[in-house]
Amino acid sequence: MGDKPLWEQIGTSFVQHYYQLFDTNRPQLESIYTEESCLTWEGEQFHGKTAIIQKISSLPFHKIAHSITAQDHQPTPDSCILSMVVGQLKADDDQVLGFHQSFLLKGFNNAWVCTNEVFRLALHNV
Amino acid sequence: MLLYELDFKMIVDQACRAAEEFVNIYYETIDKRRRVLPKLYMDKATLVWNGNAITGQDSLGEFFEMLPSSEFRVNTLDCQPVHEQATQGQPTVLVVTCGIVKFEGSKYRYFNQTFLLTTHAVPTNSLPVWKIASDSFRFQDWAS
Repeated sequence: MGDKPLWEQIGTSFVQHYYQLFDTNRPQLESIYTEESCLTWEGEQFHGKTAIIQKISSLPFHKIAHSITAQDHQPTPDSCILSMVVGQLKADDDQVLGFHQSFLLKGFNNAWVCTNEVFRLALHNV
Repeated sequence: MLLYELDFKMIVDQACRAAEEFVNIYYETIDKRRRVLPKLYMDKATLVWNGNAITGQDSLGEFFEMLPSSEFRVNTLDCQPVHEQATQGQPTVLVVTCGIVKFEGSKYRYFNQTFLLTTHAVPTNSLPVWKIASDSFRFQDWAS
C-alpha cells in the first residue's frame, strides 16, 4: 500500500473494517459513528449513533456476506474522504443482490468516523 | 419530538430541496448543454469516473467533451446535510443518485453517482449557488 495516496489507504482500510464488522458483529459498528452521523438506508433517514446502530442491528437477516466490486475514495476540500462502494451481498438464503453505498469520513481525535452514509440495493438487477 | 430533531428535520428538508433542484439541472446539462457542465463544478473539484480521477474545471471540460452524448434517467435520489463539524461551516450536502444512462453507441447501463455540493458565493447574485466539490461515478455493472 506504500505508493497509494493517504486517502486511498484510509478509505480502503475503513471499507474493509466496516464490512468485516457488518458481516460478523453489527452492534460493534457503533465506534465509527458520532451523535451527528446521518444514515439513509433504502431512503429511510436515521440520525445519530444510537438510531443508526438500532437500525443496522435490527435488519431482518441472520447471516450476511458482502463482496466489493469497486471502491473509489477521494479527499474533499474540507479534509474529509468521500468513499463510494459498489458490490454484491447475500443475506441468509436469498439470492445475491447488487448494492451501492457512499460514506463521508472525517478524522476526529486521531480516529476516522463516518459522518454520512447512504445505502441502496440495486433491485433493478433482479 | 425534541426541538433538536425538529431543527434537524428542517435542515434535511432544505438540503433535499437544494439537492433535487441541483440534480435536475445537472443531468439536463450533461445531456443537452455539455459545454457548460464544468461550470457546475468548483474550480478545483475532483470527479472520479469509473476509478479515474479528473481534477479542475479545465480537465473536466476536456473530459466531458470526449464523452459521447448521453441520455440519463435518475431512478433514486438520496441526500443528507453534512454536519458543520466536517465542513468548517460551509453548507454542504451529500447527494447519491442511481439510474440508467445510454451513451451514444452503447446500450443502457445502470450507474451510481455520489456528489458533495457546497454553496458558493457569486458576486453578481445575492443568493449563493450550489456547486460540486467532489463527484464519484460508477457503472453498477462495470465489470461486465
